[in-house]
Amino acid sequence: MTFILPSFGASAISAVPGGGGPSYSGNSYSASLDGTNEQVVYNSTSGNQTALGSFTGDMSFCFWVKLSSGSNIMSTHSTYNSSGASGTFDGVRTSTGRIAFESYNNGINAYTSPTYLESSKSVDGAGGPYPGGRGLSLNQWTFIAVTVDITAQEHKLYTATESDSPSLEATHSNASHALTDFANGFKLGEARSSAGGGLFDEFAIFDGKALSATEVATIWNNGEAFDYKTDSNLNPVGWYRMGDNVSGTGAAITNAGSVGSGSEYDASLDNGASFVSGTGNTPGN
Amino acid sequence: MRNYVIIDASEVSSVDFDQVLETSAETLRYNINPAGTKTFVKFEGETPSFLAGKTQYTHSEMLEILAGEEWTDPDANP
Repeated sequence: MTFILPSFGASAISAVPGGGGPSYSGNSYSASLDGTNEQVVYNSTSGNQTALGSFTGDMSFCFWVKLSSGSNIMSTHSTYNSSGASGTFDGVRTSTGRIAFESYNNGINAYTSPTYLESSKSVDGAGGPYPGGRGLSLNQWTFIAVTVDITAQEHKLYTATESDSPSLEATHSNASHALTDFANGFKLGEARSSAGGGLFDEFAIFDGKALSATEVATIWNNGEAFDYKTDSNLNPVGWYRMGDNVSGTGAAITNAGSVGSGSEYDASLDNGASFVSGTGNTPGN
Repeated sequence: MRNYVIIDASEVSSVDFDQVLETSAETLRYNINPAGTKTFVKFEGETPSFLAGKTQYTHSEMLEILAGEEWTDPDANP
C-alpha cells in the first residue's frame, strides 16, 4: 500500500500548535562570542522572575555550542528552591575536556556524590561507564541536552555532535535539590573568569517537561537545527535562535518559544557579541 | 579590527559606552587576583579620547592575558 502525504506550505507549518513567535525559515545564524567578555544574556524582568515561567517542576534545556576558548558554557541564576535560597547552575568544559554541570546553593555545591553532573569521558576517550560518551572537543559543534525529572529526582546529560547521535553522558540521582531552573534568567559564555568563546545556537528551554532520550534524538535532528513548530509535544517556552528571525541584525535575540513575544521574553547580545552566518557557523552547515 | 584596552576600575566612570563595544558598566569583566581593580573595553576604528595613550592589545593578545591568574581562577573548574 502506498500513502501519499499532503504537502504543506510555510504558513501551514507555522500554524502547528505550540509554535508561537516568529515562523521558522531554516537556520542561517548563530551567536559568536570572542571569549573575552562577550555573552548572551536573558535577565529577569522584575521580582527575580522571568516571563518564561515558574520552573517549579520537571524541566530541560538543550543547545548547540562550538567552543573555541575558555570554559564557561552557560549558567542559570535561580531563586527557586525549597528554602527560597538563591543559587546557580553552571555548565563548563573541564580541564580534561569533559562537560560538567555544577550546582551551587548560596556558594555550597548542591550536588553530592558525585559532585557534578559530568560527562563520563574526556575528549581523549578515557574513563566513564557510558560506552557512547564523549567530551567537549574545541572547535566542534556539540549538542548538549540536560533533563531534570523532579519525581525521579534524576538529572541526565546527553551530548551529540553533527555526525554522532545523542548518547547519555551522565545521570545524577537524588538531585531534586539542585538549582536548575531559569527563574532568574541565563547567560551563555558569561563575562567572568574563563569566559567561553565560540558559537552558540538554538538554545531551547522546556518548563514542566523532562525530555526523553527519544525526544533528545528528535531535537538533535541528524546534526541540524530542529524546527520545534513541527512537533507540538515538545513545545519549548524559550527558543533562542541567535539571529534567525531578525536576519542577523541588532542585539536582541527574540524568543521563538511558546510563551509569548516581546522584550520581556527576549535575550540579548552583550559586550560586542555578534550574529554570524556561513559555512561552519551553524550546526549541519 | 578590534582593539582591547585594560583600564583601572576607577576609570570606568569616564568610559563613554557609545564609543566602545561593551554594553554598560554593569556587564564589564573584572580581574580576580587582586579582585576588581581592573577591567577592559574594546573598540573598532579610531581610538576614543578617553583611551588615548593606553596600551592596546589584539584579540589573541587579550586572550593570552585573560588566561593568566590575574583574570582566570585555575582551580575554578573540575
